[in-house]
Amino acid sequence: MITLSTAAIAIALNLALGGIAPPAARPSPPPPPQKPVATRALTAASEVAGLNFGVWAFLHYAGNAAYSYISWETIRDNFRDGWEWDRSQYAVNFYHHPYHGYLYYSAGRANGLGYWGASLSALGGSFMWEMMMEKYRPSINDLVTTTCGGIVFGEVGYRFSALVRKRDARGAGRFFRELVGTILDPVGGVNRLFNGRKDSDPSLPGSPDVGRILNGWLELTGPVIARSDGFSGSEAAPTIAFTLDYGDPAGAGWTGKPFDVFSMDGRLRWGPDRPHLSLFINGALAGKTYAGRGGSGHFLGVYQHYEYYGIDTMRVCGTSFTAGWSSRFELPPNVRLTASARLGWLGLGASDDFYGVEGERRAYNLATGITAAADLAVAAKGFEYLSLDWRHYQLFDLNVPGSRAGREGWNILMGQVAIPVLADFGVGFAAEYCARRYEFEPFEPGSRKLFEARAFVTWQF
Amino acid sequence: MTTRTLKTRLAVTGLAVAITLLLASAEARAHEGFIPRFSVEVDAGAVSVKEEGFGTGRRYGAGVFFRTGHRMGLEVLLESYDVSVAEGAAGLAAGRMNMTTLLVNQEFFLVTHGRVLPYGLLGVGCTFIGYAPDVPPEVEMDFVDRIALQLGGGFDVRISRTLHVSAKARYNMVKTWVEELPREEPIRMTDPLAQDMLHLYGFELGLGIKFSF
Repeated sequence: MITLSTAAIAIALNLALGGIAPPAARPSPPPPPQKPVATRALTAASEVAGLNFGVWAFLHYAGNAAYSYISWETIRDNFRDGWEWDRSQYAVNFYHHPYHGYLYYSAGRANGLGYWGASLSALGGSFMWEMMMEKYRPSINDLVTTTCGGIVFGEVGYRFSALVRKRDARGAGRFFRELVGTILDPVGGVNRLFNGRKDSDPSLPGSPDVGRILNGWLELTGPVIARSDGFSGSEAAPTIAFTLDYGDPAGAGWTGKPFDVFSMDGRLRWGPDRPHLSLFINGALAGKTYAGRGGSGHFLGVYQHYEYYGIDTMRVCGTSFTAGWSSRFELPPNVRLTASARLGWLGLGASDDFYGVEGERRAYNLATGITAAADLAVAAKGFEYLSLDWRHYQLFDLNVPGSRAGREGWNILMGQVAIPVLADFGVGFAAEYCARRYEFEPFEPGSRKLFEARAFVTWQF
Repeated sequence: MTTRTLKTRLAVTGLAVAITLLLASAEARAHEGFIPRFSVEVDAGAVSVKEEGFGTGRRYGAGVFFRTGHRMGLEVLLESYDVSVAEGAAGLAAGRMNMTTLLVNQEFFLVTHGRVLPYGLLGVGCTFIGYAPDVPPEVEMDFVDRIALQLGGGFDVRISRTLHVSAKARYNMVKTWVEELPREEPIRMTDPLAQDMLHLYGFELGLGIKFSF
């Protein structure tokens, strides 16, 4: 569901905003001060509990899932026996659980809680699920991925929903805005449906005219131009990709609230075996802005991340916290250069375990580690001509049931050049390089490298 | 209880509700009713369990109600019923099954004012199931306790400022199985999908009173 949601965000937002987003070269002023928001913590808690019971009821009565057979005894046993590492599949643990957390977070936000309050909502919802709603022992990694992933996806969804919804919209426009807003902020959308007459309540997401900016591009790949021998499967690599920048990465518009500034790079790539989602989200939790000369700006911040990367048969993901800096330089004539770098802790991640064990349900290793990233982009007259992104993950694979102890180093380099062809549309060339070296017990150290170059068409807004 | 007696009881319940509506006090006619902020309630009625070999019986319950929204409220109710178990039903000897449930129900009111306040409800119950055979068996058997979904609806009729009569119908959906006692390992180690599953879905009718504050 995250895959569908993220792929739809760029299209949906632009249709809904209808030209409200200003051009990339000009950040908008900071938003006006908002009225105090009424918080309804008890209602949020009730809705989180309701979500859990709703999901459980579906799994129990429609799905007849074995783990849904719960009772007072299973709850008591879970509290008594404590935590374990969960052995569910990669997609369940790192795609589905964050979406579940997204709903918890959405419940908090929909009831006037801020980032930290809604984060508690995600943590509480996940804790309740792990302790009460499954017969199996509670899972440490599920608690982390549901909470951290839910916070990131939930805040992004909430911010986007506030851009889409408009207080004085009427008729089909209102229907469309509310529909897209409900996809982005599910619990908030349901609450608005039940309390429709209260949509002037200042605790609800406001109109898009609050001064936030949204820039980005959508990209569709053409032919594969070159690739390394290590690739498997067919030569085709259909890919849809997007980038969304909320707020100015260099801090213009920063009001001190978490995720006033965030960036989201997504890609859905088909093949060789299944669609692979790559998604890099980072949002500023705290920071300080510095004004530079000639309209330049700088931002020093602490960021929260949730990231997936997948190309061909190589995949890695995790939740992390970093510290870093972003700068925007305005150069004559109408040239903008943005650069950023971050370094931090990857709290809990996973990478595919290509050695595999026959009969083993889980084909990935759990890890903690260090993460680093650097980005560079050059734009002129609102069109981005060049971008370079580097991601690094230094993983220490956990020696826990189902995970192979070891060490890994990942380096991912993505670059592209594009030129405008007609209005906001352009064509370009993208290259991607992924290298992974590993030391797994009891195997010999080794490495894998993949390279691919693709042509693409792009729409920038 | 036979089907005929159940029908009789249903008819009596309906008649009682109709009489209550007709005899609503003058005070209730003079003032608009509303969803109470807080109530204490007691009710009693009948239950019929769907699973073959399980009969019908009496139920009773007591609890509290909190208004939580414009047209919503939360009911916390402790209810209990027992029904007969026929010889051979679920592999058991003849006896009686008792089900005690701690319910947390969300009630959604269709109207917020008026003498009659109809509502739908959705909730979950923590169910404790007991079994008492007529003749003590060689091997002790019992039902596995469960958490179950509950669906239903009802209406409150305002009699006075502090008194409502409440009529409700619920469907309590317990999926469980019978196990031999004593159990040797935690219940989570038992694969429920490998069990002979019983759908102890109880259809409950109740008539009660609510004291509002």
